[in-house]
Amino acid sequence: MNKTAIFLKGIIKENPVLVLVLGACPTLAVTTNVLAALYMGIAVLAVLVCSNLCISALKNLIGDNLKFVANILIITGFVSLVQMLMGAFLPKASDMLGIYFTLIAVNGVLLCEAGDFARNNKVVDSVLSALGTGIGFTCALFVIALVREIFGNGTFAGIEIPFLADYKISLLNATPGGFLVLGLVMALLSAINKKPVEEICFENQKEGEVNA
Amino acid sequence: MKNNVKSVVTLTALCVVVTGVLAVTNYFTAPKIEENKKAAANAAFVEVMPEGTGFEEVELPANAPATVTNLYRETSGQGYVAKLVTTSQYSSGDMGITVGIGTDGVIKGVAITSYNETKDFGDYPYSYVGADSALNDIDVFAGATYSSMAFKNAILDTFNMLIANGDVSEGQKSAETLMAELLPTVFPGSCNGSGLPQLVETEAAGFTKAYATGNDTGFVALSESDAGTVVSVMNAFGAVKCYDLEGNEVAGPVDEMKAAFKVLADENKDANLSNALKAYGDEAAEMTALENVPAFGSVTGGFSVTTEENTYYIFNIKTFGYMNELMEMAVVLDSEGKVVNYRTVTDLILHGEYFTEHGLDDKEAYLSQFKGVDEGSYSDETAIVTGATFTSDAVNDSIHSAFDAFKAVKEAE
Amino acid sequence: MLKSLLVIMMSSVLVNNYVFSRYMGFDRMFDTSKKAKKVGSFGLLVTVVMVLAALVTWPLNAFVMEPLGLNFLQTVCFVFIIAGISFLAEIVIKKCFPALYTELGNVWPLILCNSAVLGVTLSNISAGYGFGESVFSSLGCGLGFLLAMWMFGGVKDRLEIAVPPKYFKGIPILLISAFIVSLAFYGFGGIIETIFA
Repeated sequence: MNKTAIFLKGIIKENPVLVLVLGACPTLAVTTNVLAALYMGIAVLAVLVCSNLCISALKNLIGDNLKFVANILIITGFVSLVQMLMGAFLPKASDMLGIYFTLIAVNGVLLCEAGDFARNNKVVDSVLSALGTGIGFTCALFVIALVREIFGNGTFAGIEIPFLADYKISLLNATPGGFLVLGLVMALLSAINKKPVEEICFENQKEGEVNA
Repeated sequence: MKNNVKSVVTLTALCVVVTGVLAVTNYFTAPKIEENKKAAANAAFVEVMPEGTGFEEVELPANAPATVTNLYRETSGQGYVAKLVTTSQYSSGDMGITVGIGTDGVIKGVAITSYNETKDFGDYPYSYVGADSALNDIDVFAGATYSSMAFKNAILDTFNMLIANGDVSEGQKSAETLMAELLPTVFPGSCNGSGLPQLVETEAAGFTKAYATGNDTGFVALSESDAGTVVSVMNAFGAVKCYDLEGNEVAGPVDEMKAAFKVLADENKDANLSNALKAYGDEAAEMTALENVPAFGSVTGGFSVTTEENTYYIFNIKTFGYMNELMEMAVVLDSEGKVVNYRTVTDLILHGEYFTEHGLDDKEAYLSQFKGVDEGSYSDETAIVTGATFTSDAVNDSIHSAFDAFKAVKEAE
Repeated sequence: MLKSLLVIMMSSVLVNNYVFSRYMGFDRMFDTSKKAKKVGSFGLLVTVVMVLAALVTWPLNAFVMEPLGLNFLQTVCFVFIIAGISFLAEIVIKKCFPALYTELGNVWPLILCNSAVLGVTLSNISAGYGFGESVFSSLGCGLGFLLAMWMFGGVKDRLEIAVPPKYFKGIPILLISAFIVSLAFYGFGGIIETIFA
């Protein structure tokens, strides 16, 4: 694949949340607020880029049998790092994301990225892919948060929208709403892609990935 | 094998590096994180004490009232922050209040942390900022009367506790505040069911402050004499009494009061008469207006009727009911002070279910309970209907005012 | 004492179900190929791992990390402890229940990558639970996970024969069903105060 294709695949064709169906956990949890979604997206992007970089750089030093462990070590390390930095310099973000950012450490998005792509490609490509996937992740989160916050809470990043605040559908902003909105957005995207989500997922599963 | 060893070595090296990087980052970020946490914890305190730098919890003194749950001292000696919890009769849950009081006895900030009543307080708490323990000029919030009274009392409790321990200085009560505290005792007719004077400010020559009562029961005025401030009260009949700010009766500007204010019983004579005749039951009866009755309940006028068998006294009453709405009624007493009839001019806001509590069928049955009762045999429970407190309190007040006025008439005879 | 522990456990199962109320571990639900029996054994395995994880991580945190100020290593350590426990669990199953092993396959990465497992160990610490409370909370989490998988397995069986709109096929309709199931769990709110009263 050429560089542009590598970068773009993470955004639409293989959007981690909406197409590959990875990392549903943080998606649903932080999308009650647009700001939180953005924070999470950027934080995940940071971890993705760094971990892909490292894993790709070290790929020749770690044998196949220990690759999984090494991946987890690197990813978890970066998650802790970013978490500490967030706590010190962006305390509001840290509060909003809470425990869900830490759970990125065992999240499918990063592990899949690391496991297949970074492992098998050059450093530059891995970084590009990470960027693309991270941006795709952020976009997906942003779209879902937009729907959930504007229609579920009548606010945008905490600022009230005068008309909608009186007509909010609270359920969208609550726990069940997350599932609903994600499902709807996924259906929408698959309609745009003209490819039912089911197919893509099974394709991946046939390759024997760890689909977590 | 070699591959394995290489992997393991790399892995171990990786572990060491990761731990090292994290440890270094931790070294630099941990203090900042602590600072952030502290600022967040302090945020609640700084809201009510803006100049405060640090806060530490202190033990509650022995005389702490039940409403105070926690007390914090501002570490640079600027004052105290107290967390209060108070219930009001009308809300189902407690109200949480945080208040910051400086050592100079002035409220620095107030915040409501939890509140359950349907009507929002809005800006009411902020009216307390800058007030001292006298709480002069602090009004009660109409529409959330019980809650705001509970609020006020909670703040007062905190002040009293801190003043008693010598931590803050006491504030000065203004003459108006002291007057308002006096009125429930010396002029109950000017106050509503919660003991709050309902006054409308007006002008009167020779007096520093003048008020008319909201229910046509009379006037209240403040004036200065050599001995200090004098509170003068005049009722609807034009009877005047004067007090000092402690509640002792003193000589005062009686004539000036009579000159400055109208005798309301005369003003409203026609309306009162019509009401009295209807209450008495005989539209053609000859009624004599009562004058100069020194009764300070909720009476706005009175008449007497003499027949061969008996002399009847009819008192017109206006009192404050639900949401401070005026309720008008008339009570007819015979010469022994027994209630003969009770007539309401404004409809009683009492609903069917309230009566079944008293084993009554309807409003007529409720009102007929008062017949034949005199001051000795009357008990408050006859009137009070829980669930219609304001209204039934008003009814209770009217009965007491009638008995009061009767006593005053009899003493003058 | 026991009552409060049971309350914590039941709260993790019903009101704060880790899958349908806290979104953790939901990724496992997307796998449309598991049959009912596997669901049961997988769920039990996860529960066992969770409880073991709590048994190891809580003392580690209380007696080693906190006193030595090693909190920054919390995530890394916990993840590796969970990895180790699930790996060991798989080895045990391979040796003792070979039939089960063939059914489940290479399952330890799946357990590790389940956000619920890491989630429960972390939230035990952040909620300030004591040792017993942590264990019961993990037990509740596992049981809740099992319950969720069972229930959702039944839903997925239904979905297999249903015919949703074209672009909803597969995952989206699964999510819509999850929405409805989550509503059911949402309705459990408030039950905890009275459940053992």
